[in-house]
Amino acid sequence: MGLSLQTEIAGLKLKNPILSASGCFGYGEEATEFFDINQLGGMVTKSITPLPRTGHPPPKVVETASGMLNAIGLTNVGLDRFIMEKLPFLQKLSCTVIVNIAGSTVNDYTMLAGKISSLEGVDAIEVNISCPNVDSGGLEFGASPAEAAKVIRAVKKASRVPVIPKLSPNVTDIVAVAKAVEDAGADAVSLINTLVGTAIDIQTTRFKLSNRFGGLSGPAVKPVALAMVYKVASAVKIPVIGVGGISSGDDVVEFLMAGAKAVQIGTACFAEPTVFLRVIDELSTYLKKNNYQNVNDIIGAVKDG
Amino acid sequence: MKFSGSVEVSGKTVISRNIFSLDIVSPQIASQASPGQFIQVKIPGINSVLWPRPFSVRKIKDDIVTVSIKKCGKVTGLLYDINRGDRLYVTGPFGNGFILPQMGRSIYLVAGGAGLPPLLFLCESILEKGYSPKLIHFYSGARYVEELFANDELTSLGVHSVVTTDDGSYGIKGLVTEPFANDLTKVHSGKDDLGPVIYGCGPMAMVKKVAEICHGLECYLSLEQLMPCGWGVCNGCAVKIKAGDSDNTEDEKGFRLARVCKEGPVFKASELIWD
Ligand SMILES: Cc1cc2nc3c(=O)[nH]c(=O)nc-3n(C[C@H](O)[C@H](O)[C@H](O)COP(=O)(O)OP(=O)(O)OC[C@H]3O[C@@H](n4cnc5c(N)ncnc54)[C@H](O)[C@@H]3O)c2cc1C
Ligand SMILES: Cc1cc2nc3c(=O)[nH]c(=O)nc-3n(C[C@H](O)[C@H](O)[C@H](O)COP(=O)(O)O)c2cc1C
Ligand code: FES
Repeated sequence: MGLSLQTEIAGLKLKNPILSASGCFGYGEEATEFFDINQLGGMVTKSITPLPRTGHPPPKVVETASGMLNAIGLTNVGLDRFIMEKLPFLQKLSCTVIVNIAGSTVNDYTMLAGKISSLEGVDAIEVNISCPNVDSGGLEFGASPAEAAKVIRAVKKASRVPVIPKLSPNVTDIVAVAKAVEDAGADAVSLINTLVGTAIDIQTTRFKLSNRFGGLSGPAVKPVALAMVYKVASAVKIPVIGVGGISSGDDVVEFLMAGAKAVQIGTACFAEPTVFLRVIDELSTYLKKNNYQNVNDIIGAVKDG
Repeated sequence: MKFSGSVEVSGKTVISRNIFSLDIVSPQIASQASPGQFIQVKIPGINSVLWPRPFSVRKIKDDIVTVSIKKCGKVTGLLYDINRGDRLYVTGPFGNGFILPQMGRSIYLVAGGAGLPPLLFLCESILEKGYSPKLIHFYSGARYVEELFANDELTSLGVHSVVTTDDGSYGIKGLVTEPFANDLTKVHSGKDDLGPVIYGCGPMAMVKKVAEICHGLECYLSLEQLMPCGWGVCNGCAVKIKAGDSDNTEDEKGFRLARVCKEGPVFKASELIWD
């Protein structure tokens, strides 16, 4: 029998568990200059906000040891231009298309979810809740289980497609947030978004980012992401999508063993746009070598050492 | 299709203590790249450094792409020790490149530091197309002599060329924009029907100065920014440029974001905004 890489998230059949991560893959078109993106299990768009955003001024990225900080500031084309300019391309894809949404109020989220989920070609909505909540003094929605649940309950009501909250790691108890959004009706969760960090230029005594703080990503965050994925996957029944520092097939195997049903790759594709294909290859090689016929056999397989 | 993969280094030329060139074998990049475009280079196995580094295409010959590099930090320091036969991970070519000038107009090329390789490529390309070297004025500046990317190559082109160094260790002492500004005023008063075309490439402060000097003239500037990806997906390189009427955004109206790696690195001086 052949090897099966198929996996399922919230009723969506993915031909393999490898997805692109939000904010690291644009709206998909750029990657077609390198490979056929239908080879992916799926792709996630940049966060869409109601209106276009130019984001923060430079410098908005800093390279750190085995990682990077970004304070891009949700630069995106906004809902209308997304529908006019980006959607037609996404509608032609045969891989799963997940649209990531972000807002400053619960209303923003429900409006976006209502409109975007009714568009043909959108298979699911990922909800970026690592955004300041304007209605409650600017604290991130994702920082409190109650606020996170409130947004997700509303989005769930408005959406016609599965809803996947993307959890922030910048919380005291990510499991509590995961359980809260599960209770609010989430169909799956993805984690982690970036970790808050900063860097200082000691020659100029200035922050290296115009925004002072940025989000850490890349191999540096992998152990943190892996631990959080394990904890969340052990505590909820809905599927978990693992994100954070993945750049090899072995990394993917670790996340699957920790309980993720699929993974997303972000930062690693900057240097290597075709990293997804290499990772799919390496995952297959691992499975064959270890006599697994089905990728699902390793999901949650980790045992105590 | 753009290239993404491992390539062999087929040659290395050390130009000075700080400057060197690497030849890489990539038919795919060689067949596509034009002056002003760049490639992203990563050293395999160096995992603590995440981003690839951008280098302008200096030259193309058959399947060989040449980049000229100034040693100035982590990756360029490691690249200095790369040798013939070693392999690099490369993606590209990226960016819009220069719009070639119409025949017969006088051309001013103004290069600071690592801005020289792409302008040399541009210069050689237009000379090859039959452009008269008499119409080309080449200004090239470096901090000191060991940071000069090329000298013999420049003089052998037969164009008017001026070299400056900040410390006077070679050529005229001072900033490259000074002799350029002087010469340009002279042309200005002449009768050049369409006017000159100016191309500038180098550090931000330098290209900004060129923009000021060239106010009202046709001027193209190539920008340097940090480039986490180079292929348009991270937005890390994006800068604000003047917008058309239709591009209002939530943050600020009248501006448009342009990715230096995709819509750039070459912009019309008149569309740039200097903060
Ligand atoms: C489109 C483009 C084309 C370029 N072409 C060439 C070229 O042909 N030859 C060449 O020698 N250099 C070129 N550069 C600059 C080159 O990319 C940087 O010098 C290089 O990335 C530094 O890497 P590093 O790891 O050695 O430096 P780091 O250790 O990362 O930093 C050392 C110093 O270099 C500066 N630096 C880092 N990245 C950049 C960057 N992207 N642009 C400008 N300065 C930077 C830093 O501010 C710092 O002061 C180009 C840059 C761009 C954006
Ligand atoms: C430049 C950049 C932009 C990002 N933009 C978004 C975004 O718009 N929405 C979002 O939910 N996550 C965003 N992320 C987070 C990633 O999707 C991912 O969760 C995180 O980077 C960790 O994965 P990685 O280490 O594989 O990059 C961004 C990350 C980076 C590096
Ligand atoms: S370097 Fe990533 S978008 Fe330009």
